[in-house]
Amino acid sequence: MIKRLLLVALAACVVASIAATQRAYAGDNKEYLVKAAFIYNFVKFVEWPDGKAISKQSNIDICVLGDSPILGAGNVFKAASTPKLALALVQENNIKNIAAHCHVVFISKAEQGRLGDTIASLKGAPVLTVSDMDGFAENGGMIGFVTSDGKIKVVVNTRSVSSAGMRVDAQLLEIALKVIDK
Amino acid sequence: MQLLKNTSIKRRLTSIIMAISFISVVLTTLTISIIGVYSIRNNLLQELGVTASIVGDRNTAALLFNDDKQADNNLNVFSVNPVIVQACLYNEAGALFARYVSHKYQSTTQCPTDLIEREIIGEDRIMLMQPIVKMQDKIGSIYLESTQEQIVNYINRQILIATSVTFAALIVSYLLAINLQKAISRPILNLAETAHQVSIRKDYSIRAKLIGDVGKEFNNELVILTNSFNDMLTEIGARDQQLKQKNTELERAKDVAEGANRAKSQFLANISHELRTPLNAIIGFSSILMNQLFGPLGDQKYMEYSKDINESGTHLLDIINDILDLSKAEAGKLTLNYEEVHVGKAINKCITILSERAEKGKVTISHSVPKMLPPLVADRLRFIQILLNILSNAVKFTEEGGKVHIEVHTKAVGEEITHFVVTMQDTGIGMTHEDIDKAFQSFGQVDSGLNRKYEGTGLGLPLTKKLMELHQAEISIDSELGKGTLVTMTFPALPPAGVDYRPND
Repeated sequence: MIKRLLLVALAACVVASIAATQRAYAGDNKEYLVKAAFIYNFVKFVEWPDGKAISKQSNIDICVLGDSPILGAGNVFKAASTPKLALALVQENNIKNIAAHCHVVFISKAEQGRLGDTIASLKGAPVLTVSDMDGFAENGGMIGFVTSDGKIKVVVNTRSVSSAGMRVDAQLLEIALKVIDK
Repeated sequence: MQLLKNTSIKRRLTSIIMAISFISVVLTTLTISIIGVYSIRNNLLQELGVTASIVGDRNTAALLFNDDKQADNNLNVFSVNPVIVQACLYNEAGALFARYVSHKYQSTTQCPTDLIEREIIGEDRIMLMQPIVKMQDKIGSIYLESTQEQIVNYINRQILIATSVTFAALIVSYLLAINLQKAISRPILNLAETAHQVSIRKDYSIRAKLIGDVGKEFNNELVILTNSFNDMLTEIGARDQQLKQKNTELERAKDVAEGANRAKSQFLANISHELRTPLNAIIGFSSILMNQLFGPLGDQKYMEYSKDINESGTHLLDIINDILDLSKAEAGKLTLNYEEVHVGKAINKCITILSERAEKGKVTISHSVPKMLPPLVADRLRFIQILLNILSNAVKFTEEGGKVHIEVHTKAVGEEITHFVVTMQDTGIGMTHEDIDKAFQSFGQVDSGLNRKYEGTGLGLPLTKKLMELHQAEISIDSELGKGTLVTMTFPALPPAGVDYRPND
């Protein structure tokens, strides 16, 4: 119980820090903390097919493909973990492994050049692809981070999501800056 | 109930029935209304809770992804709901994230800062604070505030309904009461009317009608009452008949008795008058003989005999006079001539008359009469007759060396003298209680064995009593055998109102 309260408090701190970082980018670290928190929240608005349904999981891996500052935000997931559901941020560069055990894969900006291959390799795999590289969602990625008016926003490609057998909650689409369906 | 005290039974029954139905209707509608208000409040609260949950849920993405514009958009749905005064959305950190305020309340409300979960039904608002949870994480809070317009509307509608229902119920119950009360009031009114008729017409043959199906309502108290009343009338009628018969018989007996008494009095008056004439001759001639008016009688014996004749004649005359007076009094022919009487003088006169007899019997007569005694209004001759009668009795029944004392005093109310009291105390032979009663009866002379020694007419006391009654005076005798007698006579100072009297003695 106390643990849970602590977690809530920590999560509160995270959101508070998000609010703080929204206006002014104090640095990459804070920006990626926000992005990590967003990824954690995506989990709540995305439905995986039966085999990966969150309700049947005891641990969820949030994988990072390539090198990214987000790897420093692992604590966000540790804090959000509960005895029933453990969240972990892990680096995973093997595409096959990603398809096997990751629920979410954050593709670093450095991977932009190989994006087409990566998307193709993950085709049909129920893995939520997220990235902050330019034109990610437009190019077959599922959720892309963009900056609008100094705020971090998301662009969602619903076709990519559904073709992987997943579903995105309508509320996520509501808050999305842009929803792509192609 | 005080209100209904003097009204008719019809009005009372109608009023009671209406009062009961009025109270029931009012209590029922009041109870329903109160229950209604509470259930509406609970419904409102429940509805508000559901709304808060839905709206909270609807805002999870906006909260989690920090999209306040979307939150504002989401909250704007309340603009179509006039009941919602304001809605406040707080993020996980407890900071106000988005707000909706109905334009009507723009300036009068603000979002609370305290986020404790609560449901409050206030005087005119319902307020609710509720956490927003997404996948077991509390991600914020929502606060809703709604008006109680629905309750106010409900109450207004309820008042309208209650008033019309009460009014309708009163009309219906009045109509019913007017008809239903007859079942009770008609037999009672019928009884009352019968009783009234019986009392004014004195006709005990009248009977109260039985109302209603007698066979069916055999146990109905009103039927029992009516039957009992009729039985009672029969009983009274029978008794009345008996009483009348007895009365007639008694009347007849009384007439016979009175006739006899009148005849007796008439006879006595006549005979006394007839007796007096020869007696006067006897007394007159014996007096002439006794006084030897026409020369000496010769032998002393003639003197003694003529004296005896004279005394016996006088005694007989006294008796006859007393009989005459008594029969007059009994026939109601004795009238009093009221005048002012000097009580002291009257007493002196009596003493003078009896002085010879007192001396002979060696009895001392003393008296104490107040000096400044006002006159008594009475029949002077009768007053003296009364005193004389009592005093002569006292002297007669007092042995040698005895004493008789007369005393007079007055009773007064304030300054005004109301009564004269004359007492005569003797040291005579006295009488027993029974003797006193007997003494007042005609010819009821006490202890006939003493007749010779204390000869009298036996009419003195009864006559005295009659005369006292005529004066509206009272006489009482207090006596004990061998210890003397006290006679107390109380005369009213004035005659009965409306009786004229001659002033001055």
